[in-house]
Amino acid sequence: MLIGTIVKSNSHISYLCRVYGKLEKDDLPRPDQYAFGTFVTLRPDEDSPVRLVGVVRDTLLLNPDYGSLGPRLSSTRDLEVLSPDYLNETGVVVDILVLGSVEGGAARHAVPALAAGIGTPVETVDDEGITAFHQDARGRFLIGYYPQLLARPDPVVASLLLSILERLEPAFPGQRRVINVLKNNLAWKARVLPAG
Amino acid sequence: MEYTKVGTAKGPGDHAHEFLLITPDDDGNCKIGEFVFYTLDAGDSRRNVLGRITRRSPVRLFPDSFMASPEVTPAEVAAAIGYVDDEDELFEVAVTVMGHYDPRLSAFVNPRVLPRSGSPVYLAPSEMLSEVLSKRTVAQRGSAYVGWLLSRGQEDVPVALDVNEFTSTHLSIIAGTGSGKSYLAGVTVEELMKPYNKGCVLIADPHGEYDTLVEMPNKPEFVENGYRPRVKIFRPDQVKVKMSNLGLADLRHLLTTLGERMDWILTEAFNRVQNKMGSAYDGSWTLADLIREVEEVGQEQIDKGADYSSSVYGLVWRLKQRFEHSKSFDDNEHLDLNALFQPGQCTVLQLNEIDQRDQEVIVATLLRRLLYARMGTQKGEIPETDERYIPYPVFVLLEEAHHFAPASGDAVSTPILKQVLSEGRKFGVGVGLISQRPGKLDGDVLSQCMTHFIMRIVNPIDQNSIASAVESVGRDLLDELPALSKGQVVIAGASLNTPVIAQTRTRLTKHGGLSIDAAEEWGRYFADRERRERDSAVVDIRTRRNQLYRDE
Ligand SMILES: Nc1ncnc2c1ncn2[C@@H]1O[C@H](COP(=O)(O)OP(=O)(O)OP(=O)(O)O)[C@@H](O)[C@H]1O
Ligand SMILES: [Mg+2]
Repeated sequence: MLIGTIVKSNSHISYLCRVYGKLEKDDLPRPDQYAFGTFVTLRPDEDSPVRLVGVVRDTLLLNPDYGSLGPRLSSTRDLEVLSPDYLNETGVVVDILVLGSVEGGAARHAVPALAAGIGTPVETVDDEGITAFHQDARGRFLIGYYPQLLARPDPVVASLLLSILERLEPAFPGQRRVINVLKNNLAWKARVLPAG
Repeated sequence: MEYTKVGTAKGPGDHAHEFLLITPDDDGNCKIGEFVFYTLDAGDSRRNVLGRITRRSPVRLFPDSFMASPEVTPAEVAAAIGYVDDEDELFEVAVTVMGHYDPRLSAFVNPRVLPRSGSPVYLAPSEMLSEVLSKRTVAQRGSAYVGWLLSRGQEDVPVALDVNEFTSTHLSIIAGTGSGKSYLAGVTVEELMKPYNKGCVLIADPHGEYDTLVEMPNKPEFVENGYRPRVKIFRPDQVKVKMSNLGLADLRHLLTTLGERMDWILTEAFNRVQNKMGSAYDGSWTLADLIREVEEVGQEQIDKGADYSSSVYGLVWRLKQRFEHSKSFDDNEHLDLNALFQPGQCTVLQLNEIDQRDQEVIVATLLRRLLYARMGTQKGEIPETDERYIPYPVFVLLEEAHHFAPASGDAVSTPILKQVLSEGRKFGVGVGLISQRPGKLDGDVLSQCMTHFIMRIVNPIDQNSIASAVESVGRDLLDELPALSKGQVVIAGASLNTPVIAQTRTRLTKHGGLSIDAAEEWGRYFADRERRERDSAVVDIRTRRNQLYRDE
């Protein structure tokens, strides 16, 4: 499911995606489809075999009208008719953190070489795709971006990882114990340490 | 030759002759006590500088949180977050430099240059170590092959000690009980009795565990070109000391706490009996002679008007009590020195069943006579026909040495033992001291021994007394002592080029001091008793039943 397009980037691995709004598409994404922790993929360019894989780590609401106290020239109803572009500028932007890439079915948990361009469509990943992304060549559980994420000075990272691990746990029954060790570790870091 | 690289030199260590190396140590080569080397350019040749590993610490450890579940290895957790390298461990190893071996000096020369940072460090090959660690080679004249380097395979690097060293500058065997001291002493004696040594050895054996050495003459390893070692065992009732060989201190020690007057009378009488009957070590007085002198001294005092009669009476009574029926002290019989000491002969003095004080006096008189005999023989004062004529060096092995030179200092044997340790070298009298309590052994005595066999010791007091008395053993080796198992031994000192941790070789003769299998013996006796009780129980029941019937 396509949820939007890239409109801006903050760094090589951090992108802003504007979620499709009214007038752009017929079936607009529901909020739960671009929720915090949603896995998404994007192609650096049209025919690249590589797909970047990222996760929604933040949501921003845009409303340029808010705070402009001057008198309105025309009512919303008039605007719909006279200048529909302007109306669309209120909307939702999600912050996407790139975790790795997939090429030919093999997942790579590392900073990808290529970056995506403005206008690149962003697509959600289904459950199967998420599981596949978290498997190494031998089919064992792998979460190679865990250390890089934890190293970011970002308070939401721990809960992001925790939610990812919780989501993945049922898919890897053989590695439940390892996942639990990581979860405990995170819970300690995210819940106990900051409170102490 | 291709050498095995074990790691990469990192830089200098904590002190001047130490460097650090970094290694993943996949093959487990970098054990403490293991030997490694680096190369140095020396003009047109290269030198291999040997060093010993003294410490090792991991520099890369999994975080504690990876070990949160005992069911999951930290490596699995690391693999899950993308770390799949097999070499997850990395060690920093400290190496103390010994130097390069100079065959002309037959010693290690320290080059005072540490390896360059980043240069390779190699495992010392067994052939190299066999050449440089020991002063001798196996089965060479004057060698004692007691075991092999523990860190290598069986017999890969034999440890062959220099017999001349430890038989002249003395030996100590120290370890906690049951660690294999007597076993190792047995190995050492076997080596001394091999055809290439033909040693002259006496063992003071308070536990009667060395009589199995009698197997030696019947083992092919000991026989060569008409040589066959002799083993003489003296049973406890055959160990005799002549009264006139006793010194005043011995008498005092044997009589224990004498009153002031008695002591004075004894001293006076002893001096007279000595003067009348010859020189200090050639007297031949008897108990009766001594008692006569005691009575005479007493009578003189009584004549002067002093009342000494009760003291005289008491002293005579105690002398008779102590010596008249003594198994160990005799008016005429004693052990001829030339019967005890012969090259190619191993003499075992069994001292079990003999009272502790008597043992001390026996050993003290024996050592005294031996030392004076060797002195006299060397100075040409003793004729060849005399039993004291001993024209060759001898080696005496003392079990339970802490009884003969206790730290508390109240043994008659301590002074003569110290004299032997300090002067014995000049006169060819060497001793080997065996003790399970170095802490209870006189400190001087231990530090006078120049070769040390140290086995498993757990007690920290004993470890400290070793650390202070034994300079040749570094702290790193002492730290290994509690971890040694039976038969593993730290050998240090003058008889080899550098301290090593060795595995004692297997004895050729049976070991006499076998540990008792308590459970097995209890089981056997219990079964016996059970049977007896069952038998008697049957009788009991029958008699009781009869009584019941009778009551009815
Ligand atoms: N190198 C060895 N190889 C095989 N067995 C050994 C070795 N050393 C010792 N043992 C065994 O260990 C036991 C104890 O050894 P040993 O009698 O030498 O101990 P010890 O130190 O003399 O003890 P103690 O303090 O009681 O005299 C013996 O049964 C002996 O057979
Ligand atoms: Mg013993």
